Amino acid sequence: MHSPRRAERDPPPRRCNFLTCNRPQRVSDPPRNLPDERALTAAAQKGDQAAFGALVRLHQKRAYAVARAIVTVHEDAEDAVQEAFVRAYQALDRFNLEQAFGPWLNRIVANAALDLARRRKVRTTDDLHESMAGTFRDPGESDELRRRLSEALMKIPERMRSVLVLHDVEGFAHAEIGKLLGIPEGTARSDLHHARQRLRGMLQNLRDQE
Amino acid sequence: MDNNEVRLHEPLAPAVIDTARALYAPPLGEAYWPQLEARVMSRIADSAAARWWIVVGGWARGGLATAAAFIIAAVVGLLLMRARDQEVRVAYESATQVVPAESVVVPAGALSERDGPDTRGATFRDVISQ
Repeated sequence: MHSPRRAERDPPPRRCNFLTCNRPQRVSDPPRNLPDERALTAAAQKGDQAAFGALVRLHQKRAYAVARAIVTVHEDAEDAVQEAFVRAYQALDRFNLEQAFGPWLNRIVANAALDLARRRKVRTTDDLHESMAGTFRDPGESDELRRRLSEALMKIPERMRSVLVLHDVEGFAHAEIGKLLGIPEGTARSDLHHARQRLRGMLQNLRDQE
Repeated sequence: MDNNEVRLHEPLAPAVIDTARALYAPPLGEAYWPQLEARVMSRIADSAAARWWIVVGGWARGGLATAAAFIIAAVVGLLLMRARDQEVRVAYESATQVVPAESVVVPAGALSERDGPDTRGATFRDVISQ
């Protein structure tokens, strides 16, 4: 069996710098509503906690990402995720098996995170910066970019930052973001553009990357 | 459409997105997820236990309400039965009571030695009929 030539196998090289890139970046797609997932949800509805545990394993990363985009601080995101899974468990008997579990759960997560964010409005920028500084680090990451980006993100208004992170980092569509944050799709779109504009402005003087 | 407008529609550069992703990642990296799952499931177990108690509590509340309604119905029934017994007894007693002789007021001079038995009988019937 012949392997395809390198030119056919690899995507064409992208022309990017620190601030723009011509190809959208998406994280891996959220878990789809697989037949297995439906069976797990049905079993969980009948009180099978192990089945619900499997659903937690499938969706916790996405749930954490949604919560973290909204509350920013790791501890708050964890609280919101736990609270959301408990709410989802308690509301399972009202869940329609014909719909996808992931989006339903994500809305619960977003609501829990928004509730928490409203209660903890008094978080200071230092708290947020500290929380971001304590996150997992990729050794190859640029220290300067990390520091500048962390500072810049803290200067963007909360909702714009949530939209930016949900869209550009987590790969949610505008319509999904609108539903999660309880805002019209057009507002999500406009928030994203403003957030990008501000972020680019704040990172403008970083060196270009070939 | 100028350059700035075009750029607003473009996603951020991969380096920025990767760095943002790292900033928004949980501490401990992949090792974090089993811990989060354990915490979530611990809360679920607590919630399930609480739910069980709520269900039992609901039943207990239902049972208590039923018992209270039963007791109230029993007490009311007993009182009604007593009142009815009382009524029946009063009616029976009033029907069977012998009217004492002294309670019959006989008009003075209605009966006399001179009156014959027919006259006395007629007077007696007249009094009784009143």
